[in-house]
Amino acid sequence: MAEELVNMQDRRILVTGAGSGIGAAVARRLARLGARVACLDRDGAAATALAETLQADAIALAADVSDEIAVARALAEADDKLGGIDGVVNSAGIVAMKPVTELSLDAWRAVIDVNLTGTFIVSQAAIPYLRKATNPAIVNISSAQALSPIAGTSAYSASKGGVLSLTRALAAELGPQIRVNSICPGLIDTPMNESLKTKADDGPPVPLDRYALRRWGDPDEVAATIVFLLSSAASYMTGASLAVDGGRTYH
Amino acid sequence: MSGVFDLTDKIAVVTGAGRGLGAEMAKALAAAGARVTLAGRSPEPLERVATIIRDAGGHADCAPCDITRADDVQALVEGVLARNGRIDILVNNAGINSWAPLTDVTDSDWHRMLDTHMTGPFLACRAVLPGMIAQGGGKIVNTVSVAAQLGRSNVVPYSAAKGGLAMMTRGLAAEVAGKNIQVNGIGPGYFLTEMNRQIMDDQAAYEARVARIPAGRWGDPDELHGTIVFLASRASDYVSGQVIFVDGGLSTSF
Repeated sequence: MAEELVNMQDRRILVTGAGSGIGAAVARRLARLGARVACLDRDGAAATALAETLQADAIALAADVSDEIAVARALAEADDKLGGIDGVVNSAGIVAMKPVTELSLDAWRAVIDVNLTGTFIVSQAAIPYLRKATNPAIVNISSAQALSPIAGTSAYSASKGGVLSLTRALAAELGPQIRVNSICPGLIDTPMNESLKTKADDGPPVPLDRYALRRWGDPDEVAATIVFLLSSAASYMTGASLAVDGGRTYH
Repeated sequence: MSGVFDLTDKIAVVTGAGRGLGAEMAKALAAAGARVTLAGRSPEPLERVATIIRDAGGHADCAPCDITRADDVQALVEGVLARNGRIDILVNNAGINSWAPLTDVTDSDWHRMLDTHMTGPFLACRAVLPGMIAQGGGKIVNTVSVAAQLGRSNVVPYSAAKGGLAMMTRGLAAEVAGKNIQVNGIGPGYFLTEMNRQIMDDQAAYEARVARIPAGRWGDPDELHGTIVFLASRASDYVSGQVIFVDGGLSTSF
């Protein structure tokens, strides 16, 4: 069943934050399945480097997701080069680990701008293209932090909580045509979480015993769930959020 | 206590009122003016709590009762109606706990857990609802638990039963909302009660829980007073089907 249901052959998928972490993992996995991937990242060199390793059909786009003009240009280019857009993965994200009393307004805004407003900008800009596609889908990356935050992540948790609600609102609004789902990753081994590994020296260690699976997750394990939600295997799912967190949320 | 939180002359029944959270909730309701019937399996603890309430100027009656038995529950409700003429507030609090891996749980452990946390509240709700409907309103408060929300090892029967009680709360709330009856739950986290003695006496287990509670401490049983009075009073007339967690932030943090 799996092979047929998660068929990504020739699907044209835009992935934001594709330069690293979960975005790069999903771009790679999509390419392996035959999808044609538009790799968008504000680090254009990282996007290009990734696209070159994928296949001839993959393209690189340099844009900051919080810049609506740059995003509009990038999507037009993706549509032009790939001949359409069937799916979008909003994976661009940043984090600010700071106690709320030390979090500057600029840092707060930067996190909200990329994680929440960026997801809005890219989703909104993609709608006209997605409406022309067959079984179009958007997958947003929320976070386990949206469900049960830890201390020191107020901006990040708030932004990801916003992504969760934005997903549900878009699902309701884009209903008959476009499916919109989100995933809530837990502790994933990405560059964004690098600081958590070294934190054991100057702070409390990451409490792996609170994860039922007792280990970090690999970005590719998250990518598999994203591909599922993009595919026709999830054709009756919209507005859903799937925790991919090694059993963190309900443990 | 006055205004929207006033319970003067309201008739309340609290199950599992002989100790722990039930005793505290009974005291809180009595202090707010309610006439409280204390239900529980053993008479002596009920009498002790009744004495405390009476000494404080409140009104309490005792009704020994096994809430897992339909005839006991019927007798309890009929007794309160005979004494007081009505029941305004039902608190389904009676609870037990046990710790064991699922493979060690016996049939009788399992049934005891479901009987106490689900069958008991079902019997009590079914018995009080006709009166509440006839009098035009009422309040039912179920003691749920963070265990209804968080999956933890070695307490599967307890968690399953409390999860069932949480959904009984929501379903019944929908069913009787139009009759001006509000059904809500209180979800206590870790409280310093006899039921948790086994954890409290194990320093490592006790501290491990403290480390997970954002408030940085266990709850004192009297910290439920405000929530139970809120859910039993006019203040919550438009609140129904909710489980309010009183857990120092445990259920919403990591």
